[in-house]
Amino acid sequence: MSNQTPLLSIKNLHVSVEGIEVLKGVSLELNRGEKHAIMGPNGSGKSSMANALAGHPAYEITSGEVMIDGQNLLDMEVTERSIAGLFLAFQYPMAVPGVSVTAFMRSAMKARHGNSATVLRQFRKDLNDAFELLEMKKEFADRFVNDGFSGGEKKRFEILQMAMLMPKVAILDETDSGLDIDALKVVSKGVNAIAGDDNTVLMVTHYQRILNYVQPDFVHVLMNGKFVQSGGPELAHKLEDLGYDWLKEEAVAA
Amino acid sequence: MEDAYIRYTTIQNWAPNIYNLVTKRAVAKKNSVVEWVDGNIGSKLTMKYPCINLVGEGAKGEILTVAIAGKGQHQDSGAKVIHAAPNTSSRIIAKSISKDGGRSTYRGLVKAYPNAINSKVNVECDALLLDDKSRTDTYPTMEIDSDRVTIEHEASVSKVAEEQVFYLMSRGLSADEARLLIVNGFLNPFVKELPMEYAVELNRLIELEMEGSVG
Repeated sequence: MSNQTPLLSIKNLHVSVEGIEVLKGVSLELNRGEKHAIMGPNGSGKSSMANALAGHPAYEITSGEVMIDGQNLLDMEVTERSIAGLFLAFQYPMAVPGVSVTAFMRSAMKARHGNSATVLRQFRKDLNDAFELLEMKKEFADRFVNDGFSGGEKKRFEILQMAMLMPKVAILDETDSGLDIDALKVVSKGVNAIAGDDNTVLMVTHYQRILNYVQPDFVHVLMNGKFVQSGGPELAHKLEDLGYDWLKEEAVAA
Repeated sequence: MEDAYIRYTTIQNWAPNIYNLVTKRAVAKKNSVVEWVDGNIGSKLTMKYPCINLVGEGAKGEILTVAIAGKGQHQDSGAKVIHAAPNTSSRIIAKSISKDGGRSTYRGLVKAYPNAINSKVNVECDALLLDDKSRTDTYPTMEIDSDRVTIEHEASVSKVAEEQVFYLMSRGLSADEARLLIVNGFLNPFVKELPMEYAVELNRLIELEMEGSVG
């Protein structure tokens, strides 16, 4: 049954940046309909994992296997990974001056669906719906991509892109960082609306805050490039209360 | 003529064996406006510095120039504005793109005579480098003989950042499409000043220029 195939399967992934190993053998399976959270202190390798999966050229995969819906992700270029259904909501999205949000979204939709008349006819409506979902003003459509956006606007725009592209696997890299509580609620509402039975969401976060609004089914703790603990949502609460220190001791003891 | 308005738009796409040495001059009399809109895409070497002489009180001049220098090309272009009357103003926007070892140069002269009191000058030069083999230089000259002139000058050089390309590719665009979009964005302030037919033509030319260019 193809439905039993995990949407993302990571086996013993090792990643280096400039010759320094940042992920030291990580395995994880994301199935349809599941929400996962990866938590960990700064420098634990969380963002490295997100970037390596998206195919950032600075992250070298030295060994391991990653499959997206049964296809070998590591054989794919960055572009192909996106088309195959991977999406990364960036921690620091790049500005592209002179390119309007509409032009950018249309290019991204064209890259997926070609010049499909149905999709292009739908485009305006879909974009407007996405604006509404993320409580963004229509004027946003004419602004340049991330150019002069506030921190909150950038994060909303990342989730707007997710709503438009409808990925199979969405990785949210510290999407909650730098958001005030209202923006966090809006962004979370967006993620919850998009998450469904046919996709999976992986939230990478330092704090448990966003997990109050987007309830994960599984929480994994990454430390020093390795998973040291996995559990249900209660693990996130424990971390919020106790910090990461108790796990450090366990990691050393193990 | 007094109170006149003229805009002269040129886009050149000469063959790569052409030396394109051009003189363009305009005189702006009292309260008149002259605008040069100039795009240089073709030729082996271009040397072109559209000039406006602001000789009447209240005259305005604007020069908008864009150069794309590809393999084996040198686009040496710029602008020249002479303020020779009170309350005159000028604006220069120069944009260049260098790629595949191409070279672009901005060469500009702004001169203000002692009688050019209360005059304003605004110069903006932006260069975009698509790779490490290409080159860009800026030579802005200002000769200001009046102490009652306001001058603003901004210059920027940016490289098409790997991070920008990565961002766009992560949304499903190919590397070529990503670079083209970045370049189009960079040129956007220029393109939107063009008449429709020119804008369409220019976009097509840029698309051709960018095809298969490796960053």
